[in-house]
Amino acid sequence: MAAPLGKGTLPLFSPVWGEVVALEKSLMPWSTEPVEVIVIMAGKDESLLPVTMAKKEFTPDELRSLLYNLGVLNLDLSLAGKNKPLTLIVNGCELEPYLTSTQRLLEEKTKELFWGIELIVQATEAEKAILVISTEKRGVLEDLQDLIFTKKNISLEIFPPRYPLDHPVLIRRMLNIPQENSLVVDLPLAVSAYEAVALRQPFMEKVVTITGPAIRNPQNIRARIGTMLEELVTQCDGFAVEPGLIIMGGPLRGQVITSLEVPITRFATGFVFLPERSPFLEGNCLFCGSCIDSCPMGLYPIFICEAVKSRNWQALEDLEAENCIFCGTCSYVCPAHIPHQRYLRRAQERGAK
Amino acid sequence: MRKRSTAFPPHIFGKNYYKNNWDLIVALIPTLVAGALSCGVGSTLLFLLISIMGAALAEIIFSFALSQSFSLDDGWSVSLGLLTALLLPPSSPLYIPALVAALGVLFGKAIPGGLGKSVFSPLPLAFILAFFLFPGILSYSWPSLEEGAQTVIRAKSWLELFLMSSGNQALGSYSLLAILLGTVYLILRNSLSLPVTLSYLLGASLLLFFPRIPLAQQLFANDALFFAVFLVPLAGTAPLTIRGKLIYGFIAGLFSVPLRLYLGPVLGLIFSLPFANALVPLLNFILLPKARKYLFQKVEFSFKRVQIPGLKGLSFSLPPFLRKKEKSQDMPSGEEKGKEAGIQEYKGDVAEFCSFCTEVLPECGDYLRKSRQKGWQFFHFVDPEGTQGGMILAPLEETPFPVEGKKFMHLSCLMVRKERRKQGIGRALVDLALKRAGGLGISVLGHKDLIPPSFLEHLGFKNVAKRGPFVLFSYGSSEAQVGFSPSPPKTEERREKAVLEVVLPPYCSFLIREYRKVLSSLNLGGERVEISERLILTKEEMADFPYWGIYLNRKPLATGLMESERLKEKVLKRLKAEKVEG
Repeated sequence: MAAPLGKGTLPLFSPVWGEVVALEKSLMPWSTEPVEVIVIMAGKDESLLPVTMAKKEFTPDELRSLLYNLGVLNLDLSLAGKNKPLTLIVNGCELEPYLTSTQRLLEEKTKELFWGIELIVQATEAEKAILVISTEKRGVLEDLQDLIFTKKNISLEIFPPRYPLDHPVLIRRMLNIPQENSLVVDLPLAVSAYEAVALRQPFMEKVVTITGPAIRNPQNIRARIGTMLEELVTQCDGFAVEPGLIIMGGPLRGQVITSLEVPITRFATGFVFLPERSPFLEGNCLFCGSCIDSCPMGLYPIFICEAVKSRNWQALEDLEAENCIFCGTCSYVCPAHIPHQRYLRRAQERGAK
Repeated sequence: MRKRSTAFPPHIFGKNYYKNNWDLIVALIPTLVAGALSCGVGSTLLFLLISIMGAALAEIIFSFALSQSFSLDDGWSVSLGLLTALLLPPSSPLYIPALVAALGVLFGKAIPGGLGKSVFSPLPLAFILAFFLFPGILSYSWPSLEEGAQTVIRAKSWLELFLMSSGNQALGSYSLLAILLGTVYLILRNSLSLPVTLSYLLGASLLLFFPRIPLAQQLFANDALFFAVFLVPLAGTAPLTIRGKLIYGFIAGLFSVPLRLYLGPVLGLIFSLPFANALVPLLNFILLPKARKYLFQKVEFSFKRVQIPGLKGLSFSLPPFLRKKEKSQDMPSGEEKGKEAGIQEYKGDVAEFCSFCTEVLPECGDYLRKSRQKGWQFFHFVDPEGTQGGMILAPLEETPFPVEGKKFMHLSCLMVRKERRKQGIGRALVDLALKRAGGLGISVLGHKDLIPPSFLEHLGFKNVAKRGPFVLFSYGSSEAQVGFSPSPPKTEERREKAVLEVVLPPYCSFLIREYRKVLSSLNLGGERVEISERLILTKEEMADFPYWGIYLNRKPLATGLMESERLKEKVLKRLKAEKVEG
């Protein structure tokens, strides 16, 4: 439906058949120049019918262009360096509290997932693939290990369920693979890669978690891109309490949105509805050192905060503020609730100048 | 509908320190009960009430004195009062707990910066001070060794010792069981820093190597455990990393061994803790390699914000009564000051007019002489020590900025010697200028290096227009519009050589010097560029150059001084663009 605009962008597909009526500027999270495309539904919704395809051998180039044209993955860009051997890492960790969409995909679409991984391996000519998960459910694990046993080039890594380990930087570090030799793909994309190739279905569905204490009936919903959040909330029987804080993404890294009239985008993994924001405001630093102990990148968040507060920009280089991955652990563990993330963002903005 | 709020991630938090403090209070309850059963319920409760009231009152009083907000609900003062009561000998007079608790609040919470900024553990510090303030009153009657041994022997069984060992002096050290109960509670609530506790116990247990004190008595001298659980892990006085905490705990325990041998159990522990606290900056320095430069950077002392190097690497605000009071601006003006000091018209050599404040370059001197011939008026403020300040007033027709509606008198070169600033001299000069303007307004050009905009704003000038680093101010007439003239029309003539011009007012010699330094350091890689300086002040000259700064071929390039690399980039870019046009 929409052509890609530049490097790193992907074609966009309308989730319904119809006619483009208008292009409007609208409010959308995570976008600088949001444009809403309004499509009027017309005719039969043919995309619901699965297309059965005769099995055909693809060359890697064909596969890549297929995945690209169907809006799933832009593999050319990540292969620009052509560093070999390449390792494909499929990120199946979902360690943000509340979110369970990846977990459900892993449980329900295990076979599809493995076919998808094989497809991406074929497309990228990667040497091997590693599926990284952090689940603890025994039944799921057994299924996975049975399937893994039959695959030669796919291996399984089980991480302890400790929060910031789902970040690509930390996954690479845990697996000891340098950045130029690895490609991290999120698990939902591997599933939709299978759907794209086998069923010729463009990227237009996304599993999102609608959860939080304010939701009456929390669910994982397979929603089409462009569906309004309001409809998903109605699907979950509405609110138990009127929410005070709506988070797009997980509660540790997500962005706050204030309206329910937000369409689902390809970046959405879930929406968390909390009754209200934490009432405790920033207190004095107590020098407990928990932020330093908990930082996965080995930074000293409190010193960076103090340097930013006193506008001591030279110190930021020594403190390596640019390495922060914004996992939010420091703010979570801080007994004084210091908003480290805000200061670190400021430090990085300053460093980028 | 409930109000929806926005926030920066993360949106969920762990425990805050309020909860940690209240956990500590709950954990102290079994110890308190054991103490009350041993020493009498009524007296213990009275003791407790006095110390907690002392701590709470002290917090309220200090926060009013320092005009801070107090927060009794964080439980810090209450837990401090509780700890005070449990550490004191039950026989001490009733004003002692209130006093010690108040001192603890002073050292822990009322110090500049508030909670977390104290280097030393506040309670031991308060005890030490009280110990020296009231010698003899706050003393623990440590039973002699034989006596102590006998109390242990008198106990009927080990179980009794475990439940209620006597022979200790502090209220909180009667029952090992009670302390252990508190410890378990803290561990379950995840409020205890275990590395410090365990390593402290390890260090303190080296006392076992000194067989002067019987083993049984040592084992059931619960003070060490009480300290290790409730006092030593206090956040803020321990190093920041886990390794540091292990080392700190061990060292604190080690220090306590000799002091306990000679001062007695409780006093020994109290006196040993500050020694270990003093090592914390060193441990942080060793264990936080990336922060070394930051922790020990150059000392910066200013009156509003004090930065202490080494200790925490942090700065804090001074309480209001310690801040330097700003001198009142209502100093008598020049006329009232009498004969010795006052504003006079400057009659000496104009070239040396600015010499009391800055160095004057010969070009500037020439220029100033010329402008005097045109009718510019020079004033200076003189007192017995010499010239202290000065200004130049432009005649009305010479005002360099376009004026619509009303006429303005332009004031320039307003300067006061650095040592005599903030004493009303500048105000007196501006008052005179207003008088001279005779009902008309005054316009002044502010620049952070020349006439600071904040000073002009303070005097009541209004910010009218801004261009680059310069801010135009007006005073006295609000309707009139004063502004920078529009950019000059493009000159069509072509040059073989590019001309880089520095355009500045005549009196900022030091700026000229800086500009020269930067411009001469430019290595433009073969481009033929002529560098010249131009001093302007009058209206006609300002028409060509709308503002001061650097001009390339008469077109503005930069309004202020910048790094030579950036300047070079800019010059080369402009030259290239001109060539393309040509």
